[in-house]
Amino acid sequence: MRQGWLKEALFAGQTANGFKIGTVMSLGWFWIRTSGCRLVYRGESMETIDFDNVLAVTSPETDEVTLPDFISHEAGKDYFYVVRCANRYGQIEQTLKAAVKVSIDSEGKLEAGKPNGVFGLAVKRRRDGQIELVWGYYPIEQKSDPKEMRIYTDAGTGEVNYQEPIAVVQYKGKRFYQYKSEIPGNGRYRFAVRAADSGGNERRSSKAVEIETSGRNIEAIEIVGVISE
Amino acid sequence: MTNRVDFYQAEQEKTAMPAGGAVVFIEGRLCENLEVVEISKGGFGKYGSARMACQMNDLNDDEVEIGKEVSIRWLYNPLYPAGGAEGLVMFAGQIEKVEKTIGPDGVSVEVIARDFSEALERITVFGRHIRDIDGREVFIESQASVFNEDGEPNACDTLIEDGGNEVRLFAADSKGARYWNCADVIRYLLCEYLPVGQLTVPAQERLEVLTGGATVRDLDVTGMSLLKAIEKCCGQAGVGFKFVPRLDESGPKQAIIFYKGDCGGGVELNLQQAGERLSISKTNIWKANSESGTPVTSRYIGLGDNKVYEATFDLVKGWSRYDEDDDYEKFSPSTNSDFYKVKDVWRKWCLNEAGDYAGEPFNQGTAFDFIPVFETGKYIHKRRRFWPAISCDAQGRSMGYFLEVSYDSGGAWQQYMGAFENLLDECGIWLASDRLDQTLWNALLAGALRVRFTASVVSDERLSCVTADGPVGGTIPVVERIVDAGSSFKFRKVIGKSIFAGNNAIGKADQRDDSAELNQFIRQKAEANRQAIETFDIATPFLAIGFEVGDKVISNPDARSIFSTTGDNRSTAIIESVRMDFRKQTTEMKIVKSKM
Repeated sequence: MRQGWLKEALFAGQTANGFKIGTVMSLGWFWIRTSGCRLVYRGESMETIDFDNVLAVTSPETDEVTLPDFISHEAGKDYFYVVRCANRYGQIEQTLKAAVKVSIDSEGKLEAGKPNGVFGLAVKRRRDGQIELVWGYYPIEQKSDPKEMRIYTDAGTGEVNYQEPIAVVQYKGKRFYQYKSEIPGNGRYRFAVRAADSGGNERRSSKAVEIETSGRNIEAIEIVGVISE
Repeated sequence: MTNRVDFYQAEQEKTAMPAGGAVVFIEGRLCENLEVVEISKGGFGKYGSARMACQMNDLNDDEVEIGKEVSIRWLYNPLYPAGGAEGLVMFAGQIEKVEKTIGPDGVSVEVIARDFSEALERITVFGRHIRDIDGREVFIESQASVFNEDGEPNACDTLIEDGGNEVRLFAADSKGARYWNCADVIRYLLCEYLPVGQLTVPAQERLEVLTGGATVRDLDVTGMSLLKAIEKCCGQAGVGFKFVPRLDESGPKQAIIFYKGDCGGGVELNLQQAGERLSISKTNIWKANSESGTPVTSRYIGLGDNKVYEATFDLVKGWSRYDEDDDYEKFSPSTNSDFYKVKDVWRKWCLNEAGDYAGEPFNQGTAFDFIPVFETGKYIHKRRRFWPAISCDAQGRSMGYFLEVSYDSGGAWQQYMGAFENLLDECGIWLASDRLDQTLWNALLAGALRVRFTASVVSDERLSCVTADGPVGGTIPVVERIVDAGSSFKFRKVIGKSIFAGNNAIGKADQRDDSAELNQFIRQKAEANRQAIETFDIATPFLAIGFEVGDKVISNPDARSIFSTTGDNRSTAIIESVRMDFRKQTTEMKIVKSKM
């Protein structure tokens, strides 16, 4: 809990924050909002939230905050907003619990929500000679429900082709997924998996796994006899 | 102004938390078929383990093999407030056992993994890595791994660089050696017997602070497993240790963490007052069972080595006066074939400490009175033996056995330069020359010969100290516990009756008084063996992952006083073991409350 407004108004006079919170009315000596309030801050990442600059103040009863018009959002950028509560004595909480990420697309509009990235993607060669991809999907804080999992490969070129998936696996909830494939041929192959929603939106992740194949199946050794001395 | 503080965290009213996601990685690769059954954490003798299960059909042949690296990760969102999943390592270890059970549902497989304690158990400690006086380092397998053997220092004075770690080695010679402290020993054991990069080892300075710079005493770990050796060392310093997974992607996967009784972090365990509406903000105890024993005070009696005193002793005749004769040739083995019949006459000089020479035919007076030597009357008249003097020469070597004779009834003394033997079954000497010196012979016949001997004698009393971990003499019963530290703590003193006492012309005497060290050792022992006042078995209503071994348990003042730690500042409740049950979605803990 902090009462930064008190120090700020006393030493810096009529500040922008003082006007928004209303403490300039008491020359910074007294907290005006006796029923408490909510304060909105912004930053370009969660680590760089500008807590010295209050963007907006709302009453504690409201669940929505409308930002002032002068606050601009550049196309193609991400913004992180944090809301903090102040109590009737002007003590402000110090948490990051109420936060939201706002992504602006290249056209300056709010970017559509996307499913989460997959985790634990691994590739291995099975005993039957096939290649197996295994991964998991965890819908924690996801912004859009996935519809399918798209598998991409570089086909041995070194650059994964994210335009055309080589296979699609239907999404079936919080679980593990796998994809089996014949060995494409000798060489080094890269694979990537992305979850996509019904609108085709998918998180742009560059994580890929790599496997080197010799093209030969691994067969069990046949024991033809035992020599005893 | 007011001291009231309002919290804005919304009150949680759901009765259970959603099940968390724990996934298994084997050799860094996701193992989707293995289900986590439980994770156990413990320290000192228990350590960490994990149990996972699956059906045999789901498992690939080579997926689960003994010795493979396992990590269990808890999924969380690292991208908040955006969405995403990453694994936070909750357990890291190696597969120790695979159990298969054939039942109606096919073959079910249980995989048991253990933390790094398993690897330490398989390493045997032997030999010594010694730094020679010329700076050369050599490992001698046949030497016993004994730190501060017999309570004497045997560590090298300087730290050396060994595979990126600063470590202390054994000293080649006791001269200039220093004592091993607990931190030195732990680092020596871990750096010497473990390949570099397998386990993160705490820095020397941190270990020294944690162990309080405690010196180990006569710590023999030869032939023990590395785990038991570290346990034995930590037992002397009163610290515990555990293995924890490291979160860094690079470097060793696990770290060894040393901790001391009540120095762990604080965790809250609360149970609401009876009759209140259940709130998981206020209650994180589902089940609690406690067991308390009769409170007793332990009185520790620490015993060191027997005290040793150096003095100059006047010796008496150790032969029958009826065997005396003035025939010079009779008392020489080269001139008398029956010499063995009179071998003691004129030659054996004794202290008479057991009173063997008090009566006829010796008549040498009462048994020797050791009170002026031992500075106490707590001794018995029994046969002893002389040991080398504690006083040293200029090179620091013992003066050995120093025999003097006087030819004028004690007026003037001179060192006896002839041969003599120190008797091993009683305090006495035997003049071993073939023929006795003529001057000596004349003094003998004249009755003017006096013999005195400067050496040390071991007393019946041992170095000791007493400490208690509670009130003594009150209504609480007192249990006495003997801690026999053997020869690790010594007491050697040159008393004023020694001719070398206060003699600055010779070297510094090898006097020693380990009373303070023994006292510290016993206090550490008492602290390490704090008696449990009450033991609790606690279960949480959800799978709680934040509890660690060594954490100190506290309770909210508004909660029920289960652990009684809020009103009792002389006792502390520490988590001793944690078991996370993923099937029941609960965390069980054993908590021990003991006196601080």
